[in-house]
Amino acid sequence: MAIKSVLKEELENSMRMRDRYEEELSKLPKGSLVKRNIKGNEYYYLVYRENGKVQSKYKGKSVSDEELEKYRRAKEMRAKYRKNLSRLKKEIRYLQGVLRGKEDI
Amino acid sequence: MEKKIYSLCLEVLQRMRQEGVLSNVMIVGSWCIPIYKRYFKAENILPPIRTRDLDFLLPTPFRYKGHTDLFELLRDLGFIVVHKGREGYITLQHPDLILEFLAPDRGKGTDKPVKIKQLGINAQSLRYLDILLMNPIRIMFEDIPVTVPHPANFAFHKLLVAKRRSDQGKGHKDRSQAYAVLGALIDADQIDETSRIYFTLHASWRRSIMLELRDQPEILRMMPFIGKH
Repeated sequence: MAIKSVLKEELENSMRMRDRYEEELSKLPKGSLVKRNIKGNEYYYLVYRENGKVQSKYKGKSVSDEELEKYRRAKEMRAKYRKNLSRLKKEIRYLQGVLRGKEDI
Repeated sequence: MEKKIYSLCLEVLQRMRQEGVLSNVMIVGSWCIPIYKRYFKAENILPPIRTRDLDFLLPTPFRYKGHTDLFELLRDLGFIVVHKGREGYITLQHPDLILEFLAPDRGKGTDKPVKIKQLGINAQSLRYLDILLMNPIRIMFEDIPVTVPHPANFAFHKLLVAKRRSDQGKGHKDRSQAYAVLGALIDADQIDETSRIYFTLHASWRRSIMLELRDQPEILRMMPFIGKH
């Protein structure tokens, strides 16, 4: 009984955490800034995915260091959040299974 | 304990130390157990634990002179802010570690979080936490100086809060940790110090502690002062 209540609390916590990671992910700027060399000139594009398709949006011949840093940081955080989210989802499935009596503790 | 939880905990402590925050807070809760293993200089004296919660007790008024946004300090490790409770106290969460911030509730239990401006957080206000602040001890934990309650204060606090838990599973965990720590104090021959600390507590608290130890004859035999006025 004591173990069950601990697991139930863990499950509720993991679900709350999952929701918050999803929220944080949605707040991050979408896509990555990439530099393309076209006929000897460099151009910046914002590359992102929309409805399953990769899209490119022209950003100009140069972008500010701040903008570059913003997208670099967003990319780094997105990778971390996705990794954590995937672990949480696995954990939630496992805990739900245990609480339904389908998995061994 | 899992290696990654342990190393994440150390990274958090190290960053807080570098900002000068760590010396102003006390580690309480289950993470005291691995720290007490260093204090008692014995690995097997206390049971292994698996906990994601790392609890920090903040004395109020909070005397830290600097300003460190804790969330910003730990954000790149993958922590997120999760608000809990009706009044919205803050926890910093990661799948491996949940940081909770507590402050003593010296009033009638308003449930209102305590705003700690210097760290950009709201701490959860709880009763009985003053017991933990009474006899702080400093221990090197993997080369990081940390402050924890004296093990006797830790054990007595656990016994006092155990029956107040709405979740009996947690109450059971509190009791087993308290029994283990009292057992470790007996083995370490710290009965006199435990007695001294016991008599600094309020008489009604001493009575509650005695009632919690009714079914622990070995502890009562080794600590005969428990229950005396």
